[in-house]
Amino acid sequence: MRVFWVAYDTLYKILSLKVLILSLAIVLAIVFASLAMSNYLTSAGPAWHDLFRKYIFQDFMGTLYLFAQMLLTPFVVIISALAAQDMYRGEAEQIYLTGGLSKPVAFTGRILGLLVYIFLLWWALFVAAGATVLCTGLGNIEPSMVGILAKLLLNSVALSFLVCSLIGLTKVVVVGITPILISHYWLTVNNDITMETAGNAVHNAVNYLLPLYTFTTRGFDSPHILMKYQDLSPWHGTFSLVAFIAFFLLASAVLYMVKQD
Amino acid sequence: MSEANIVSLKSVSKWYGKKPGVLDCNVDIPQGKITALIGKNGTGKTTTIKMIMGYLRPTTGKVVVGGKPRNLLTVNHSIGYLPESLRFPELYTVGQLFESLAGMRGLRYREVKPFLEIARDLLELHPHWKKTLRSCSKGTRQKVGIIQAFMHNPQLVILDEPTTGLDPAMRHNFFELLRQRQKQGVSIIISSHNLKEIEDQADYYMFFHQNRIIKTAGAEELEGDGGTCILTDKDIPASLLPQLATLSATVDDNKVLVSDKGLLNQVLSVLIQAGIGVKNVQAAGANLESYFLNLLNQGGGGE
Repeated sequence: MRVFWVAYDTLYKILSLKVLILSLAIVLAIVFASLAMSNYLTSAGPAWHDLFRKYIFQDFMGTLYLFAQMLLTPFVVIISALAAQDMYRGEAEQIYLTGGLSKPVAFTGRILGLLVYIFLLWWALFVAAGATVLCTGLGNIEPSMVGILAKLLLNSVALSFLVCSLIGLTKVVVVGITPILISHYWLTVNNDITMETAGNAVHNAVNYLLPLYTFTTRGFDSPHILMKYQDLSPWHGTFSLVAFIAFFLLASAVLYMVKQD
Repeated sequence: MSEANIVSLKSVSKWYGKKPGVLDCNVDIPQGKITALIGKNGTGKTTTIKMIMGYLRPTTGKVVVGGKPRNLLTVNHSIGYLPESLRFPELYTVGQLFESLAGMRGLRYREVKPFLEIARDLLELHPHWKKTLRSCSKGTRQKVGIIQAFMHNPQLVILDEPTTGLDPAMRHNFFELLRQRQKQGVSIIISSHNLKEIEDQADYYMFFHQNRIIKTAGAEELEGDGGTCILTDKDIPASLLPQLATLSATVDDNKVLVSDKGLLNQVLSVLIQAGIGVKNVQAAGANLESYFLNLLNQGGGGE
């Protein structure tokens, strides 16, 4: 029971008024910016919508995933860094470790709270995107939408645990924010991919290290952005992602147990 | 450790790299007493507290609390703690925070409610009970911190600068709460820089200087052990210092501490001959501040 109270407290810790407002603003901004870039607003009249619905939908979803990875994942990294700062540094956490609350239980609760927040963030994006698709009549909520957002969620969880490990190790918040650079480098390399570059040494190295965004071109010189996301994560990617999550979680836990401050 | 001691530090040293935190501490803190940690900033008080709490591992030596040695994974079952700086989630109301803390400490809210009501009235928290912590003043948050340290009925409570942000009336009520809990057998350790307020409350003192515990003393020991303090109408000129030093007197602006009472008359003569008026002469032992300053001027002391 204690673990749920710690998770509850973690949510309170994360959700200051500013973070709450910012979270909603980012989710809504991603959805509406994606819609604005999909030609939905510039297509004149229902006939054009009907004619180009499939392409508008593809543009919307592709841009949504791209913006989500570009904005929401870094936002998760920043929030994780702030949460980890409280977990690993200073006296904020010490007040809780009294009255019989053990470090393993406290850590489990903290991680659970962080996971719930990250999940709620991606869930909000899914709901907002789904509502937009339905309200605009662009299409239906497809299983691939759930699949891709779930993978992006897992990806942000892996980065979040990496953040916790880095802050646990260095006690420096700025270091904890550096995974944003990694995720953006990864995004850039994968976004620039064409049939020629696919499979070269740099690309493979990036994809084995950060496997979620792995892409096979299937013979297209300039693949559509949505296709890149639909081909996410081959077997080695899924395996690597789970392995990364487990490793960083374990590292974070060990660092939490042995931290001295 | 004898049963009469709640905490024992055995040859404890803590180094932060090459910088000393605390050096060679051998101290027993008595059970059921209010123990005050006295010392300048950076002399090792907070480091000692954190080692007792198990948040820091001693570089050498052993910390024993309630008869059990501490390590980084020791669970603080019966210890309450108020750190120097407090930070709670800002969207909690005061009442919600206590509910959440009770849950985290494995207690039902109704178990802690009677104590919370008493403490709430004593520290005048009632008007703030439904306010978010975001809208509470620093003093109110400090009161919340104090109450949480006691709410699970611990046998040892450690308070680091507990009166920061409290007004005089609340400080009085805070010490009232302390005395209430002490009567119930709770051991209390306080670190404070406010010597005037602590000297009326503590039963036992630990004096820190240059990262060592230079002296431990019971309150009764302080009564007559601090020499004599002469308060003058102006600051003592530097030209008099060598002469006063030969008479075992140390100077702090307009205060002269005479550690050897046999030389008091001679010191007074020197001052009067120099045209300095004497405003007051009192036993330094009755004043914790003078005792502490005297201890520092003597360059430490034995246990």
